[in-house]
Formats: sequence, C-alpha cells, structure tokens
Amino acid sequence: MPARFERPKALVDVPMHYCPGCTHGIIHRLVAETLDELGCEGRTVGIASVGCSVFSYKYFGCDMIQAPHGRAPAVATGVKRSFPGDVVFTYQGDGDLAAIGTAETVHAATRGENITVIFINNAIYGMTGGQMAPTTLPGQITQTSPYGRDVREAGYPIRVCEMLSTLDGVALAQRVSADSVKEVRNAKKAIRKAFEYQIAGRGFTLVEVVSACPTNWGMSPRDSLQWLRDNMIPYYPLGVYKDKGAEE
Amino acid sequence: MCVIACPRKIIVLDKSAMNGKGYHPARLADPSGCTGCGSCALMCPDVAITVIA
Amino acid sequence: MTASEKVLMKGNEALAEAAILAGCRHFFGYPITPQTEVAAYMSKRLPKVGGCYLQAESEVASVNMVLGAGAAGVRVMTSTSSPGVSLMAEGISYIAGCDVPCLIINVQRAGPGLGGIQPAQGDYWQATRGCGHGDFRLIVLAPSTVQEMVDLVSVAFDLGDRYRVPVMILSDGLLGQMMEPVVLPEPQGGLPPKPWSACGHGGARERNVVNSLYIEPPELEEIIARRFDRYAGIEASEQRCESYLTEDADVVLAAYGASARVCRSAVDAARGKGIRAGMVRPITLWPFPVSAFGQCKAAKAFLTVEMSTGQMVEDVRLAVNCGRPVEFFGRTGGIVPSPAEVLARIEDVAGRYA
Repeated sequence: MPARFERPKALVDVPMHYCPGCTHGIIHRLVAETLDELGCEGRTVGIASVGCSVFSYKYFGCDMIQAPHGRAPAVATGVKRSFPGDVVFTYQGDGDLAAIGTAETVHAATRGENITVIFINNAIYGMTGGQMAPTTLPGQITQTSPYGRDVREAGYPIRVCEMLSTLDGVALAQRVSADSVKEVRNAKKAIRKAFEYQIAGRGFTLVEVVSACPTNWGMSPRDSLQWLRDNMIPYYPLGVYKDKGAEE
Repeated sequence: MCVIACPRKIIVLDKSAMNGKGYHPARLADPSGCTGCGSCALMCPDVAITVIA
Repeated sequence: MTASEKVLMKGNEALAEAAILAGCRHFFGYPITPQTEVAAYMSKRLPKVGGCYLQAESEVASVNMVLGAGAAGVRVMTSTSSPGVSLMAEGISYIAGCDVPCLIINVQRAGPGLGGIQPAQGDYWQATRGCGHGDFRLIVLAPSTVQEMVDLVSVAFDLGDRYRVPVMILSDGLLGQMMEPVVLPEPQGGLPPKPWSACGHGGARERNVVNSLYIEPPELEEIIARRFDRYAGIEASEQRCESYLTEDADVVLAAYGASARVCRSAVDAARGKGIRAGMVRPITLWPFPVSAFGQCKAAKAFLTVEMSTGQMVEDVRLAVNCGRPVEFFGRTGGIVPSPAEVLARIEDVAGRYA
C-alpha cells in the first residue's frame, strides 16, 4: 500500500535534537520535501548557520557547509558563484540573520544573489538559553530583558520581510507561519516557490517562518502556538512582501 | 502537536508508555476513525508519522 | 602577454595575474589601501576568462565567500591589508577548522588600528600565530621581489590543495606598489580533483559535510591531532628560504620581504668594508626555516631587521635555541629602513661580537 505521507528522502533518518514542540523539525521537512519534489538534492548545497539549527547539517541529505554565525549568505554566495547551476540555500535563525548577519543578509539580497534563505523567526535566542533577539517583541520577557523589552533602552524589533522588500534584488520575500495545518501547507507552498524562483534565476528569495520556542518562552507547545498567533502574527503579519513573479 | 492537529481528536499521549527520550509517545487511539487526512503528519516536527492511505 | 617574455608589472597586479594563470577564477574582496590594485585588476581580468569577481560588503563577508567557494572545491582567493586581516580572523579560523584550501593576500600597512597606509611588517605574529582562534596553522609565504611574488602564487595554491590548508602571502605596501620586470608562468592546466568538496553529490557519492563543529571533545581532539600530523609533514618538507653569504658570516641578518631587499644592500656594503656579513631570508614564515639558521655555524651573532617592533626576532631566537645573541633593528609607522641605517647596526653588532 503506497504511503500518502512519509519521510522525504532528502531528510536523513536520524532523530533530531530539537525541543518538544519546536517547529524546526516541520520546516526542515518542508525544505526536504521541496528538494525531493524538484529532484534537485544531488545538486543542492545547504549552508547551516549557528543557533538551535547548528546541527542542521546532520539532517539534510544534500552536501552541507557549516558557516560562522551570521555569515551563511556570504558562504552561500561563494558556493553559488562557483557552481551557478547548484541550488544553494541557507537555514538561519533570528540572531544569525538579523543581528550579527544583518550586513550579509542585506547585501546578498540587494545583489539579487540567486540563493534561498529560510529564516526561522521565533523572537528569541534559543541555543544560548533564551536571550533577547532583534525580533523580540516590545514587552517580551527574555533572559536579557527580564523586565520585558523596553523600547527606550533596547529599541524596536526588525521586520525583516518588510525591510528587504525595498531592495530590487529580492525576488521573493514572504512571511509564513508553522502554527497550524493550514499555515504549514502555506509555508510549504512559499518554500517551494522560493526554490523554483532560484532555479529560474529570478534573484534572492527569503521565506520568513514565524515559529514557536516553547522552551525559552516558558510555555507548553500548545500554549506557545497560541501565543504565536496572539502576539507574533499581529506584529509580523503573514503575507507576500515582494514577488517578482507576480509583478511580471 | 499531532494531538492538537487531529480534526477527529483520536490521537492521545500514551501515558502507559515511555520512549527513549523520556516522553509519552503519541498513539492512535481509534484507528477506525482515521480519515487519512495527514494533519498529524504535517504537524509532527520529528517526521515520526507515516500515513498509509 | 606570453610566458617567458619579460613584462614590467606592479607587484599587486603581477600577483593577480599569477593567480589567474594558476587557475584561480574566483576572487572575493573589499577595497583597502595599499592592495586595491589586486581587486581592480581581478575585476577587469576575471570576467574575460569566465571567472567571478565579486566586491563584497566587507572583509568579513569576503572571507566567508572564500570559505564557501573553497568548500565547494574551487581555487579561490582574497586580498586585503592589515586591518582587513583582523576582520578575517574569524573566517580564517573556520577555513582552517574545515580543512579548506584558499589563498589570502595581506599587503601589510602600518598599524595598529587604522595606522597608516605606508608599508610595515607588523602582522608577522598575526600571520604566523594562526590568524584566529583555536589550534591551527596556515602556511605563510613572504616574497621579496615581484618575480618571487608571481612564483609563490602557484606554490601557494599547490600547497593549499595538497595539504588542505589556507595559505597566506605576506606582502607589504612597498612590494605591492613597486614595478619590476617579471616572467609570467604558463597557465596551469589540470587542477587536482577534490572529492571532499561540498558542491552537490549528484547522487553519485555520499554527501559531503564541510564543517568545523565537533561537540564531542574526544572527536575534536582526534581531528586536531590529525591536522597537526599534516602540519608536521609541512614543517618537515616545505621550509623555504634563501641563504645569502652565510657560510662564513660572523654576523647573520634575518629579514623577509621589503626589509630583506634593504638588508641585501647593507650586507654587500658591510662585505665591502671587510665585515663578514650574511643574511638568511625566510621565504616560508610558517613553516619557519629553522634548519637554515642551524646551518650558520660561523655566526657569532644574528641581527633581525623588520619593519615592526620585533616579531620575527622571537622565532630567530627559538631557531638558534637562544644559544647565540639575536639582536634587533626596526622601524615602524610606515618607515622603510635605509641600507645605511642597517649597515650602521651591522657594524655595531660586528664590533661587539665578531
């Protein structure tokens, strides 16, 4: 009996290290499904970043390179310029992409580098134990904002999709979520589109996935998904911020 | 997360069992109620579910 | 230009052309004085040979692009000057920790900080003490003429590929800007395959993971130990230097790069005055040419001359096991010592020891 749903081939069959209720696993799977569907695992190089997903090189079946914190888009650029026919993607968290890596992110985007960036935004630094991130919400309590993020001291969160949408080199900037079956299906479509745009040479593609961190938010998986809907999505509205394909 | 996602609410955490990581694994409590919609599999972060139509 | 013709070239440009002839088709860099000509030359030539020149947004980004391209298995280089190398330190550590070959050019300028734009040799420690965090080495080559710069480029790529290490060519503002006649090499054909590279497995092999993260201490220790076995092999086989008039020399100078040019004139002048002077000119700063110093049996004293406050002098002392006096003369701030100054010091040292 054929399976209607099974593990994608591009996802290595090993247990993952993520916390219970963490949505990393879902998004890894969506990327792997896309590689299977597009039949491109053999010519794909993934760039692992630094954060909870630092071990992502263990889970994707394509060739992988581990990048320093924040530098994945630059490492991806080096690979893509060496093998333009390869499919190159990065998988980054909010600190990696929007704190230490902001310059690399913005410049890969404005160069229209034909890479796909999967951006996991959970408004916190997971791997190092729950510190404030550039996308932490005003008032949100974290280890380094124990009284809640005070915008007078720590400023405002960055809305990455909105910011990058002003750059001409960006072919797709879309924000999705992984909090429900409906949104996961949407996220899959966005990720698939991003990779297709890369293969068509349209430019830089980024999919921002609003995600939960039950462990560092101090909630159960069920409650964290609800918190995400109630608090993060109003600040980071889901939707398409730039789509060169739709403009044509 | 499969427990939350299942529209038929037929997945439960099996309190009588414990897996290698120290958690109660999910179990399909009522196989006859399963429509094969795949919602559970879609929401499983560990890709632990295979859905056979 | 055909090979075996002599052409007059500026150091920075000769270096760039040599890299292209060695099969390098990828350059990622950022402008900084006094190396900008390398990037400018590459930006003109690489597109004409089907290569990729990319001006990155910073040296941080440049070195990471080098990491990516090197990990994907191509011959790749970057070029910068002293403050840029500091920015690249993180990337160089990762490149070494991933065993990825690449070429990094440092056209030294005066430091520390923003310093000046005139030549200096203040980055010796940075270059030879690994250039970044953790236990690792990179091969460091120090040309002292434009021809040598050209010749060392293919040596750098070959050694890098053979041993899977990053290689640095330590130049300086003087060598980078000067013009000398050079003979360019033949274009290199047939680059070695790199079965370890992450460029897409094509379904034909196991996937490759280029990585420097090893969370389990015993595993990391083993990786480091194997890497240092390779380094031991490099130390045993790849020391390079030039010994000039050292067989009977009472006073042996030690200098590299631009300083060595000055010292050669000073040694000749000293010989003219009856002083038995000589010079060991290291060409590999790492591996340091220890054996060359051991061979200076007649030397009563050594005099290290650097455009710094004294960095290589420590390695010279170690090379002679601190068994004989090693003195130092240097200028900093971007000043190049004159042969007359060096001669005066040789006379002083000879007067006290010879």
